[in-house]
Amino acid sequence: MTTPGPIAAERGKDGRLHLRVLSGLTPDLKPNKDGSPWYARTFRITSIRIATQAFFFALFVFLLWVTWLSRLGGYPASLFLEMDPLVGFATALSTHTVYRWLWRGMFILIPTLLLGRVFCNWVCPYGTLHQFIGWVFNIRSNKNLIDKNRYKPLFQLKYVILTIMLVMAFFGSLQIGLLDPICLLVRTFTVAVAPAFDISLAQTFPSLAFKPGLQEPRIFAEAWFVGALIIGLVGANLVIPRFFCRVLCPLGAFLGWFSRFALFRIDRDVTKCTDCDLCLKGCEGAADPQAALRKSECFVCFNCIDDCPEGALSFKLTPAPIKDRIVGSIKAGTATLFGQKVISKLHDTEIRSPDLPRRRWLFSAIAGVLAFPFLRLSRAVNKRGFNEKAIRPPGSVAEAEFLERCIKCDQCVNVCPTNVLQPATLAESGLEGLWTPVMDFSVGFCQLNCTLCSEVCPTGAIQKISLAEKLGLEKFKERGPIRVGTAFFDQGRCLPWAMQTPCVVCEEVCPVTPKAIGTYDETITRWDGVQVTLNKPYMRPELCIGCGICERECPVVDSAAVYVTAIGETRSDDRTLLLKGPKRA
Amino acid sequence: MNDDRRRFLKQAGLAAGVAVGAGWASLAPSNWPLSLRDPDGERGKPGRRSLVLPKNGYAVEASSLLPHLGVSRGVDVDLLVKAAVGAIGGIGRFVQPRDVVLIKPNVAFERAAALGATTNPDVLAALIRLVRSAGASEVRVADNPIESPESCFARSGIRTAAIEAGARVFTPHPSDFSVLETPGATHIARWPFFWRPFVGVTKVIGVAPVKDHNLCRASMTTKNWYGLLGGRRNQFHQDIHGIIADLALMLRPTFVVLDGTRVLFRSGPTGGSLADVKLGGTLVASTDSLAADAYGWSELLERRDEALPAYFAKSAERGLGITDWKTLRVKEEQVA
Amino acid sequence: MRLGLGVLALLAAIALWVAWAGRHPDPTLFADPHALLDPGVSAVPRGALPAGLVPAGWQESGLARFNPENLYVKIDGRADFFIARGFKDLAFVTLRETGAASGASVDVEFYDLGTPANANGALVGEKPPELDAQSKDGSTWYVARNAMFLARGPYYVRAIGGDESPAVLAGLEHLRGVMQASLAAGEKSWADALFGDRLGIAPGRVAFQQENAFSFGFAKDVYVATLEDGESELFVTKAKDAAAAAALALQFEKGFQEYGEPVKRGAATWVKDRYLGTFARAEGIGDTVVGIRGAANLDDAEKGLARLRAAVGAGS
Repeated sequence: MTTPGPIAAERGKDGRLHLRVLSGLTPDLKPNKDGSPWYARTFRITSIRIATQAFFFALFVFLLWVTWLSRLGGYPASLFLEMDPLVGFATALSTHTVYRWLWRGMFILIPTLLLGRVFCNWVCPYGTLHQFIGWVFNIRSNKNLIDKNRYKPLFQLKYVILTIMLVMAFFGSLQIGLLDPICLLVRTFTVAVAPAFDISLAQTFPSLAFKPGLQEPRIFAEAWFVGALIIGLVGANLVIPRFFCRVLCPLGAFLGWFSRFALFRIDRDVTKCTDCDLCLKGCEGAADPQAALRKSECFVCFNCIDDCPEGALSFKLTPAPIKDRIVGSIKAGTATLFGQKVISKLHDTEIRSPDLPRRRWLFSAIAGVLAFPFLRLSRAVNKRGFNEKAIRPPGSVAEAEFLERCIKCDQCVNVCPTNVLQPATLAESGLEGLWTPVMDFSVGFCQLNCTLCSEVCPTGAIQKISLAEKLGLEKFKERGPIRVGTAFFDQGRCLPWAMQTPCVVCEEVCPVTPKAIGTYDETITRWDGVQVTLNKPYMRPELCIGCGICERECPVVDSAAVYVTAIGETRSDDRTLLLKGPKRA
Repeated sequence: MNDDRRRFLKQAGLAAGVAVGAGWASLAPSNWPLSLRDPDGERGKPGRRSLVLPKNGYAVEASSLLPHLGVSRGVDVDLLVKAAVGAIGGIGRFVQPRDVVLIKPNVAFERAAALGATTNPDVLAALIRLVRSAGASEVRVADNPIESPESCFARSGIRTAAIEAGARVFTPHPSDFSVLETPGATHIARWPFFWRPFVGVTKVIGVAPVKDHNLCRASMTTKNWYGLLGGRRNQFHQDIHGIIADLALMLRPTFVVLDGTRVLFRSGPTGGSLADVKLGGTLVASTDSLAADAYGWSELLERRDEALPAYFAKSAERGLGITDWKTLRVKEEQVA
Repeated sequence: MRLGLGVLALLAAIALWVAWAGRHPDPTLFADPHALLDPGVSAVPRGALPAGLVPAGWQESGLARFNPENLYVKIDGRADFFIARGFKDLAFVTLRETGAASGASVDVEFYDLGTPANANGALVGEKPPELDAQSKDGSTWYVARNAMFLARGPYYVRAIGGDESPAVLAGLEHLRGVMQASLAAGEKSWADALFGDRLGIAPGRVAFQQENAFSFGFAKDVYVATLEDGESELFVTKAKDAAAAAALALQFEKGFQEYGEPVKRGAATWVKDRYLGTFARAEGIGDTVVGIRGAANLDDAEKGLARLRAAVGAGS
């Protein structure tokens, strides 16, 4: 029993190696020592917790899996993002509103106020992933584990991160999505895990593919970076267990701050506790259950209760402080509580608030105040210097408001049927807009009849729009269709303009009526004397909606002769192209 | 001391092993096993990889006693398939337990089965059941249709029929093709081939409908292998008969089944009107696809007064089959 | 333990709710699922394909267009039939009855063959001999069980029903009405006037061969009308002038002689087919070449040709 872990080998009495995992599987249906039936043993609260974690992880992956046009139906595809109370709170700070389904954050907040950070070890799929990886690849001895699970001042860092992000959100720059575990994991699945699965295992089981029925695999800008990030963060568990959850997670910090109000907490009976520290062996949150419980760190995983050989730990409704009720001296060995001998060293019974000194809170706040202008002054996201390739999906709010709302979760990128939506790199949007959705028409085009991205966006960065609204039909006739940009011709690369070669692909594919691309038809005598008719294309900017299918289909594939930039987009009053309002035929 | 010596020998042995292994891999002539040697860079060039099918294809040993053609007439597809295959020796002659069997139907077009442009899904299902009853460990169904694969497999009823009968369905994806070498072929000596369903396959069975064809006059079991090729197949039109003769050379099946339950006797290969389809109620099984096709030409398409299309002669010249089916042993059977 | 059961019940409730929600999609989002599920559907221009092909309760989806370069992607093996008939463009759509359990569907192939003669020629070329085509107001069509074939102007429409149900047949009829109303009838050609007005042969019996008529490489733009007996065929074509017409007639005669022997009757030379025993002849009248082939005996052959000769003469 020296090496815990799932597949530790032991030498049995017969001298042969036995795999513990296998011997553990043999059913032992005898009643327990205390006379309770055998299934009470398998019904331990930690077993229920593991089942719950597996359920939520499966639900999380399932909801990402159904985020596809042929499967979406009415599934709450962005449920986890909507239940994330940090998303709701931070967008409320930045926009002063709570969008659509974000009230679902109460589903997590209320249990936190009652029970503490149960989310972290019961629901959060990212936490489950970290715990699972840490368990599978664990090589530490119990003694080593106890040491690794003690609280460390490094764990304050998450409160610094949270404070900086919330202060920035207050000023109008929403950055929680960089590290919020749900946003991070949705993004990782969308950009790296799901496409990787689809080009490998899904080749053998096509019906399991995240994106079935595609001729070409989906590609994403800088997928390697998103993939490397998750490998790094998950790998950090091998150095510090639950590294992300304890050190970085802003949602954990947010819930940790709220868990000070929790009515229930782990309680240690000092008359039973022998100070053996075994409760630390499986402590996920590094919450010091062996001493004064750090309520803000406790994940309520119940491992400590399971591991306590003395039955000294329990989960109780607001235990009364006991310090004042002890009679006698512990040092002298005469201390008693309600007549029972106190054998454990006595600490404060709980530490409610996060362990971040006031001056560090202050420093974090100042850092946030400074970070906002530092990011916003970058040319890419500034009003005066927007990037022409930051083409936002239809229904997006204007850029400043967009940055107040977008949590970089990339659910829109996930659902996009043509792969046109891409996570922005530093080039298009700077650090502030990193991983926000932009359209890359060399990869796909904006499907005319599709409004799926607006449907799945949890925060309203892409507002929910109807098809009629997108196309400017019915009651939206007056305003016209939503434009995401305007197409331009590069006559130096265009086959009819520059190379005496007939081509009308862009005009043919233009989906609007009347077409936004017209042609000057001209018959010329080519260099070799052959008569050819050239349909030289031109743009009618009043009609172009910037869907980019012309750029996607242009035969000059490496750098298309017709390309879309963001100018003329409906969502912005600053980026209009034409003086008069666009006319509708 | 003893321990020390043992440890030294062990270490020395390991070191020598590594050195020899590295030397072998890098220096042994490149045709030796496990050699990685590539003196002129030719071996490492991409795109040189190509496939070859087994030397004698997937054929079983010929028999001098059994009939060449098994013909069954009737309605019940299970009985039809059993009788036709039974006449040429029974499924046990062709499929042994643990065989992995690929069945190639014709799913070329997005048409309902009743329109006769694709293999009858009921016949396919009956054939799959028969092959499974012989103990095949896996049955696969694959085709590279003309139109969008997913729609063709769905609309023709082939996907449902195959899966319900217990087969795995392979529809083509771009990565599923690899260059196949067919020595002696005129046009497709090296051509992209739908190889993925072939991985690990030990037997191949073709099952093709009887169709009129605008270009090559008749599309039956030999023309059916067209659906295993990729690339720009429209180039083939320039010499369609030469291509079909190449197809006969490329794939030597275990046996073929000519599905004459419906006959698309004009407007082929696409058809569309039920008026172009007649019920044939016939199946032909043979190890010789040319003989089966020749039978279909004269008895099912009922064109016995017309000369056979040119690809028959071109294939027969290569010794790939016998086109004069009347000289062969034919066993006919009427079933329910 | 009771707590554990409570948690499991909560999880089951969440699972049930998710499953329920999945089956109750937002009706506005999926108002037109076919359009949504068909990436690129509206990116394809309709070209000449009329709008409103579907009757009430049906839906159109999957519009695709093909040109001579990629026609094989759609109808490999049959593409040459249309390319030989001046093929320019194919628009393909599927019409489906929505809601109903019947699942009736019609695939529409809308060929632009450039000229009315080509469109009619394709129709006649595909028509089973046992079926008669109807003609009215510039359209020629026939229904073969589950499918309707229609030529109007330069367009040839193949509408393939999934089955022979009344819903499909009604859909085909609706389609014909739409084509009739939204496509302009082609202008009558000189051959239409000749065969239709003066000889009383229905357009459904007059084929047009743009190239390679009777497998003669020189025979271009030939109109071929099948007579009532179903065997003999009258044919006409135009040449540049009278001399060219006479020369072309001579070429036909030589062509026929490859399959038969010359037979003299009066001043005229006929060719008797070596295998079928039928008679054929071509001659020039002004800039027109007229002829007959496949006639069972010489009397019928002379009679037929005289009819054609008279009709051509009346026209000039």
